[in-house]
Amino acid sequence: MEATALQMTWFVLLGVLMAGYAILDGFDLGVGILHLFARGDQERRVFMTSIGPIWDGNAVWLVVLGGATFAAFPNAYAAAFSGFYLGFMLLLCCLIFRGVSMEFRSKRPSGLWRGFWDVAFSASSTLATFLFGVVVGNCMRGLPLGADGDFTRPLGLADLLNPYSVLTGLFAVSAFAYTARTTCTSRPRASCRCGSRAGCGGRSSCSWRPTWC
Amino acid sequence: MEGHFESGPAALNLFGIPDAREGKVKYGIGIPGALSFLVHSDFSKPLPGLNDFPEKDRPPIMVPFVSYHLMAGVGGLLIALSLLGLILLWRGTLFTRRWLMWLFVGAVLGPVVCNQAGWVAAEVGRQPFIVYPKQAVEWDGGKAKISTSYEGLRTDVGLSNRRVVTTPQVLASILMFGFIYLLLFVVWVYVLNDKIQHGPDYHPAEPMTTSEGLLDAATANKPAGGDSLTEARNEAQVVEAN
Repeated sequence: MEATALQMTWFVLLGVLMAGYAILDGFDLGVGILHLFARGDQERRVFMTSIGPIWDGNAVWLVVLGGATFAAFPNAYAAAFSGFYLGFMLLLCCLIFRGVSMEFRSKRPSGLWRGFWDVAFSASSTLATFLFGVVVGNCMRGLPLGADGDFTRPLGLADLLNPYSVLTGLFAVSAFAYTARTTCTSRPRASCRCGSRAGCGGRSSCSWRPTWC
Repeated sequence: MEGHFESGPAALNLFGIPDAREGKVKYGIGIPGALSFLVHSDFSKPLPGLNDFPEKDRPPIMVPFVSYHLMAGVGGLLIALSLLGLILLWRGTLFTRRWLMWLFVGAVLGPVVCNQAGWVAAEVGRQPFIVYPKQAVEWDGGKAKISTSYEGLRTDVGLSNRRVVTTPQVLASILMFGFIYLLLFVVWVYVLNDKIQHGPDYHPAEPMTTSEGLLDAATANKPAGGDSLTEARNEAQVVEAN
């Protein structure tokens, strides 16, 4: 089957969108993964507020990716969203908890309350990233596509979590955490400034402080 | 949504019970011709009735009728309640009526009910199509003749492949969302209650942040050479030239 110029353009565009999402939202997913490594309420608050104004903007790349797949390759969209049904539902669950924990964490001062949302934020970020990696791993490993373009059978969790995909999932987690860690430390001066404005000193935590406050 | 079975001028019902088997609205009270007026600005213009469509193209009538009227009715009640509150506020007796305050607390649920009911009306009312057919009406005496130029897509062709998305998977996702929304609802009520108990914050104005203080501060730093910054700059240039 010959691909038309339009299809090739859209294929490249989808690649650009996916790369953009991985770079931009990869950063704030990574901040979520590292969230529990930040010590103390102040530091965690700086972590969250650093991605507060940008994370939903970055997530739009994912929305556009889904919408563009729907418009440009409807059959692939149908096959993927039906075939990975459980995986995508879990992903949605994670993304919901990520947004919600950022909203709710600051609403009450109690340690138990904040601890719960800290764990929810970090766990959902980690699981979402892991699931992205698992989906990519399964795509590379091969999918049970039938002649009609749909999967031949539903993919349960046991199918999704084969050793290869688990490894790509873990790779995604470490890559996003790495992105976040390097971005956070790449502009230490700005980080320190915003740290001192927030009223907390200490050079040891400076390197952890993300750039956009 | 209005249970309009026979082609002809259509009424706008206040309430009623539509009966698909008998093809009429029972115990209905409505304004005759008002629906025709909404569509054509004319109380006597006929609208095609459900009976002139093939049976397989008709939506279930009960659910859209009831949910749509629930939405419109609750919406009307909320408007009336607001107007009542406005009148009492104007007369200065609003906050002395405890029963009305409780009614307002309960009215918080009203818009949510409207939202859900309207959604149900839209989703059930569009059945059995997922993409609507393109149809035109021709009048032959009092009878409507429907011609279809585009067949549309029926809902059953829009379903996911059942070989791939199985019933337990769909059930699992519904349970998951149900759990999430239940949890969020509990958290939301908890935080909301907390906010209400806490009440609004009062910030007493500090001396220097009042408008008077700010004005004093601004005029204290007035540049030499009057109010205009241009004059001040000119003066500075003169000083440099010297």
